[in-house]
Amino acid sequence: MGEQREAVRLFNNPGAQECADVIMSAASKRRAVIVLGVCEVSYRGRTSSELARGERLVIVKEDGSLLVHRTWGYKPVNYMPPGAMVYAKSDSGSVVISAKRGSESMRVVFHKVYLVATLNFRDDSSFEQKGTEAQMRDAVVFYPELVEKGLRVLTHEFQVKSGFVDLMALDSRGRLVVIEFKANPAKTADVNQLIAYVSRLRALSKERGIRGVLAAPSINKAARKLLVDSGLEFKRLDKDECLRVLEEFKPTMSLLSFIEKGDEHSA
Amino acid sequence: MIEAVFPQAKEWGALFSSVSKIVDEISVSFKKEGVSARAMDNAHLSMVDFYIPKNAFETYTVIEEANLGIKLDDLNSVLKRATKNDKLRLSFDPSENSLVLAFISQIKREFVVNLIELGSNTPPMPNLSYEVTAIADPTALKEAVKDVGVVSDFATFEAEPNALYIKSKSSRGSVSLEFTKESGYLLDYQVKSDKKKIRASYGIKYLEYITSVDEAVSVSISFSNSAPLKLEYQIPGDIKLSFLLAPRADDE
Repeated sequence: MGEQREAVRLFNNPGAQECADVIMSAASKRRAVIVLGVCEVSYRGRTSSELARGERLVIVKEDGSLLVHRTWGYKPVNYMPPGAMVYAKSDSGSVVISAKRGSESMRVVFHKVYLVATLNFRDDSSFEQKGTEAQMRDAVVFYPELVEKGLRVLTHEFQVKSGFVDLMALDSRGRLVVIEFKANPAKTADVNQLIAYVSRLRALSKERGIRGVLAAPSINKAARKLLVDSGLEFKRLDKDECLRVLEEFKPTMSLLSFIEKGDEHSA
Repeated sequence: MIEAVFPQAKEWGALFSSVSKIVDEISVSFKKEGVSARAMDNAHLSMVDFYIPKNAFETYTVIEEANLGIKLDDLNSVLKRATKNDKLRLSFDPSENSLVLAFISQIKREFVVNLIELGSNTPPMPNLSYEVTAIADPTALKEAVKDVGVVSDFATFEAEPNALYIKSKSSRGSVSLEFTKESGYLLDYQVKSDKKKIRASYGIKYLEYITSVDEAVSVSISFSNSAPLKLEYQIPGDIKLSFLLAPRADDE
């Protein structure tokens, strides 16, 4: 058995020198550090800013990024991007953390440190992005009105020569609608993909009335022009709304299970 | 051949408007004893079922029973044109693939709605019995669902011996509504269980669909722990309209 890993080391009310040493030691081992205390912050680079004295949380991450958080808001009030060189020293009873990356620099002066902690964390899990194309498609399967009223879903992942159509549906007038979902702002390549699908289906069915809809959070100018010129349509689809629909529908049981079980659910 | 006259066209409008909240098309069965239909939405989360007995009609003649496939948008567009004192005459001739609707007041207005081909498979009704049944004011229920929708995507129906609660909570906040017989919002309230609490949760969007029933005089609310919700509306003219809604699986 190897030595037990110490995930978190806490230093309560450290002196300035001890705090600077802890930060430098963590930085040399590429470990994250959090510092809670009274600080002021100055920054030069993307812009120029001064943050006067206040109680804050500073995080120096393993990749050299540095974040200054207040006790409200999800965004840091100021930050240095990954790759910054981080240096800490004690100066007249204060702890000075300096971070520099290219033309950007930040200086955080802690007049009082309540707590410093070094983190020796393991986190290899992948990040599952919310609002993927599959989730957008599933939301429309559950609630076709996200695209338009009267839409009826026929099938998804329908194979054509050039790939798989995300969703096939019928509109209220009975026309076939080919829907391609994009989780990111739609580009001309996405429009070309939809053109290929619609062209193929029009050729197969000899039906000119087939509609093509590109559903995405937004679309760039060139893509919109190509889409309109090609007689296809754009539908703005909000990813949060799709996730809300999935949340609404997915955890719900099917009535079919109660029909099958019958009296098992009786009181 | 079918010929029937219903005394209040607007009540048919209210009925089919509510049905269309969860299904786009429905097969309506005209039988000797009355008119009925049952359908499940595409996601199999909800079911609608209605019945209008023969004696609710002023005249009712069904020579040959028939299932008529109706596209609800088409029917509702016509029924919306009904005015307060219109009677509704329905006629169907098997040789024509259409239903003739006539509004009869001082003048007769006749519309023809084309029928569609639908399978005659009626979904079976789940065989459920319920631990809680409350008779409530439909408007109060509808408003309660709207209140819950302000803070959450689902509503929990919770029965205690003397009060029915509709509650929810989310990251946005929480809401709790109390219904008692004393308040006048419950006309009747029966809890057939020794359990302290009976509770089930349902998605708010479908709750909004199945509580937007106009013209109903009362609604019977029935549920059990983690079981479907049944809402049975009493609409004037002896129309019985009911909905079933599947519960959320994550309920306790």
